Amino acid sequence: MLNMDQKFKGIDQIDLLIDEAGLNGDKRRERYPDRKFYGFFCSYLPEELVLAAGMQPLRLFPSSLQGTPAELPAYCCSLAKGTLSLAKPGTYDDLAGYGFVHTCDTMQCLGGIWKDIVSQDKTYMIVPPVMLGAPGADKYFRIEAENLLFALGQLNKSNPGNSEVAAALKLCRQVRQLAGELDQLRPMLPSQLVSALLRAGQVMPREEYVSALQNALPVLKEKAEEAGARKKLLVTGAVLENDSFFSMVEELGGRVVADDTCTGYRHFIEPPIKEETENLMQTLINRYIEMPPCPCRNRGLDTRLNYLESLARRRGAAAAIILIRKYCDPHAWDAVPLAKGLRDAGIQVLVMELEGAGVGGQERTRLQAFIESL
Amino acid sequence: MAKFYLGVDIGSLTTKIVLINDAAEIVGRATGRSGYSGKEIAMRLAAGLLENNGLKTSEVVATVATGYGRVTFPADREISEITCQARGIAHLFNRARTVIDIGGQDSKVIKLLPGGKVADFAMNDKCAAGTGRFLEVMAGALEVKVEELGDLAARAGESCPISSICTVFAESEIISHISAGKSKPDIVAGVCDSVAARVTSMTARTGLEQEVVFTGGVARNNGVVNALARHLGCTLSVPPEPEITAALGAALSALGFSKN
Repeated sequence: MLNMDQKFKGIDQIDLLIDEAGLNGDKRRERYPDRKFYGFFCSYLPEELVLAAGMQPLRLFPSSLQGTPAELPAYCCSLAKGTLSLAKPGTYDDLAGYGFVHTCDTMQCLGGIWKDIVSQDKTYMIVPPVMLGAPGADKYFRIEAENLLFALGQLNKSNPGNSEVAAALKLCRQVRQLAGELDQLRPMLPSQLVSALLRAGQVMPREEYVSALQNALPVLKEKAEEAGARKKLLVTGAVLENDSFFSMVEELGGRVVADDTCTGYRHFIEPPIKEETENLMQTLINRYIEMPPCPCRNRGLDTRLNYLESLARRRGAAAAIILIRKYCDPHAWDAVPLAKGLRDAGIQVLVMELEGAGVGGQERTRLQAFIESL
Repeated sequence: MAKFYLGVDIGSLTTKIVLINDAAEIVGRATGRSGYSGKEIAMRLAAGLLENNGLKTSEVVATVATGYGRVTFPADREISEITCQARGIAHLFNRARTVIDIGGQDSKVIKLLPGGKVADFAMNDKCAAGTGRFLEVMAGALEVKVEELGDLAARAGESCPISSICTVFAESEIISHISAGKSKPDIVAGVCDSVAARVTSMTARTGLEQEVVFTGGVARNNGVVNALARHLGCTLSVPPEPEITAALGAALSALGFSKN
């Protein structure tokens, strides 16, 4: 149960979203029996294409730390371990399919294992360009996206064309615009609340999410208030399947004013697009090329650092916390130069390694000491 | 009426309490094994300390709890052991810029600003290597007391390498050294070097600036003190009671916020 300020409790518009975020899609069959869900793991899987093919994108999260499935080495992240542990007994059997993005060796191998033991036909791997700004990267990515759309159409026995893609793009832009409004309110709202509201948008049918968030935003605006003496923090990192870390930040006197986690605002960000192209698919892909890169992608050596430094300045963050999920190589390698770069820019940094998304006594000591030092 | 301030440090292995007066002078201190309930031990130690000094509970103006069990103790405030350690050391060594603290189940390096504010810190991962518990396990494998490790290390001719960073596997390595006929002093020197190497790698994350102060129960072990000084290439200052400095910092924090 989300530990929340009393003034945000008992409000229907907010409760629905918090409830959905807490479930992480577990009750999809009873709540949305008419919808077909398509599982995905990474924000670089274009949600628009899943929607255009007539399915609902459902981000897959590990429910809690599980043992290591025999198919995986012990040194892989709890996202891979936890989701495969859930998939093997059939937790995801109702899903229409599973979309993997090549982000790292672990996810690449997990995709292969998934094909072998979950479903050969329903598992698809998309490989976005690593160097997003490289010559031809946009064209390559567009072709990858077209192939994905074709595969999704076959999977759902639909034939998505321009009109379906246009409608999906419109819906996703609406989601992102509302998430953007929520993100603007973030400095004035409890960190764990914003985290939950954004995660709900990755596990609910998107039309329902738009409606729920539209209803919730006026209430949130009304109840938002300045953070006072709370220490303003920027957080970056990978997937967080619950709000435990954000609750602890609040408990210790902090406030997450900028969230660059994979499941936070980075998932929703709508970067300024240089131009709308004639080709709808290219327009769609341009958003994924231009969005702030995660450690698995590259748009220049300092693009990520510069973006985070600028984000911290804009939001008045006193410090940054870099979260690493244990055994997540891309984020672990990125953390060292990123921490140095931010420190060189005068931003205090805490690098915190987590087993999963949950935090306990050891994390509390590190986080508390860090906040006390600000 | 005289005023007193209590600092309570409930660590994973040991609970330490320090009582200071208005002039920030230590009036009394007590330590005990944390056991199942560090809170109960701390309450008992505090009651005994007050009784021994002829003080009433009402004369303790403020209490700050720190350490692993800080959230369990009914104090006025709870402050992390990193902040308390920094405050305690800055009080004792005003030129200190780096604190190396090795406790029962964690080790940390704290970089200090003038005045004792924490500039940065690094802690060990969720692993007992490089901690007091590591030394306890190794002492057990060698059938010696932890307190004897320092003297044994001083008699070493050479240091047996302990390559494993895991406590369980390191114990296996020690058994292999025993089987190979290595002497206890040489093995103990290897154990101390292993702890020192682990902690030295943490200092690379924060940077090492002198004066360097070594605290925590392990600072009483000369074998580790010497090994650490050798690995770091500098001398280390060790407080006379290195295990109570975080509790002292907690008491000083209690004094500080009471006055403010």
